[in-house]
Amino acid sequence: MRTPPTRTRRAGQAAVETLIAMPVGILLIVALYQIWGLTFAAQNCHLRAREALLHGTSTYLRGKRATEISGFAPFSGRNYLPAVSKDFYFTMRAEDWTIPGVGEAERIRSTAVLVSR
Amino acid sequence: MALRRARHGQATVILAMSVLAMVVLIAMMTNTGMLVNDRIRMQTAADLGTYAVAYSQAASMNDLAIKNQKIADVIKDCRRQLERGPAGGSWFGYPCDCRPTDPSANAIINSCKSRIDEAILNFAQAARYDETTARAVQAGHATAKANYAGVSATFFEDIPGSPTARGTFKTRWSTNVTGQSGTWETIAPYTQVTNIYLNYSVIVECTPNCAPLPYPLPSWPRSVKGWFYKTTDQPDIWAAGRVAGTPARRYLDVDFEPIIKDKGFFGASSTGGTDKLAAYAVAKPFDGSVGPTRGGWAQRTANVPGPRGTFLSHAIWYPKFAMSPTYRARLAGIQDTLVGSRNPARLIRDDAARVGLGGYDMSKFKH
Repeated sequence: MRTPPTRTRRAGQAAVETLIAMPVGILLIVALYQIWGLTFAAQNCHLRAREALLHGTSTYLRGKRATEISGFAPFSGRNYLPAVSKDFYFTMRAEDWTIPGVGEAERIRSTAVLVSR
Repeated sequence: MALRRARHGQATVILAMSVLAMVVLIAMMTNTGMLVNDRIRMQTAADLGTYAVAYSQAASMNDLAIKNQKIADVIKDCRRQLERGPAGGSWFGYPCDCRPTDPSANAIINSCKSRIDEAILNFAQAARYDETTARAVQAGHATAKANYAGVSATFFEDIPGSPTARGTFKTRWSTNVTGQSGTWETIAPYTQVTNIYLNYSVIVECTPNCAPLPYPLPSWPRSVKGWFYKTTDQPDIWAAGRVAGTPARRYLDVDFEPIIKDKGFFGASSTGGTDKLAAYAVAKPFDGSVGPTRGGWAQRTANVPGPRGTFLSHAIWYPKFAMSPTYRARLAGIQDTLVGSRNPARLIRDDAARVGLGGYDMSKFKH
């Protein structure tokens, strides 16, 4: 018995459609992953800059995640410093990295500021 | 055959629907991420803005503690001078006058009064609202803007009864010689001590034989106005703040109002809507002291005039911590029992209701 011509044309159709759909699906999943990484890094960066300004660089939010923090805060050692002047400018900068999905990780920077005017 | 033909492209349809669903998911995720990011930045602006107010308040109060110390130091120096009279620590009275006074010692007291007045004026001017709280509030606004441009901030400087409002606290002061006085709006309610005594030991010569008494007499004590103490020992200097704004970019509505109302949906224009994020924070200066608190008469006056016959030592007796320029600032919470006619919990609750954030979750301040 010979297979009807119509059935021959339909063979493998789902596979072809799946092949076409798969890159789009993968792209979307990668996009989700990238956006999640970006969001996480940005939020982490903001939080660490703020906490570093309020609590110094050596005490708060020290996890395994590599975050560069630099600046000057009204906090040193284990406690807040006495306020010496009504004119002040403190700033703390945090840098974090997005999770590398496709290509290189991006650096995210955030600065928390305490300023008198 | 008709049925079989209808199944052509079935996977494509499913694919198209799936892609659409995933795109929507990505948009929702991006939207949520941006929203959370905005919320974090808003809270950062509120925390740091309020902290900046408290830090500036702390700096002002340290300045006041130093100026209050200056008043005490001048009085201490006056007492030391009076203690060093030319006659072995005593002064000579008017010859044959029998009065326990010495013109040179009196001149020292008058000079001291002028010096004390200068220190009093320095304190009063430094305590003024415009020099202290207004600058602190300005720092709060500048800090909030620096951390999140475009937001609006308030530190309740326009709410009567708030410690940051003009007129909540007043201090009455007066000088000894010039008669200057005033009741000024200040950072905190201070009261001036007006019965600080200066006297000295004097050798008295009495008529008719005009011979010195065998023992020196203490002069009549002179009462002078001096340093300041805080009217209450309650923690009534603090700052509360609210930072709010409408996120500039978003894909999905954030306040669940009907889409047709503010059009904040999936890439449509979302600016100018009514969506609003808000963050509150409370901070306070702590760990310092401008002057003695109301507790303890001896601490406030720092001297005991005693019965006539008691000579006052130059030493001013007050605890070292009574005038301590060591104020720092920290974030605070509701549990800090900060006081005032409007405490932070009440200020925030009322404000949330006023600006349409009714039902604001106050438990966020319990940390």
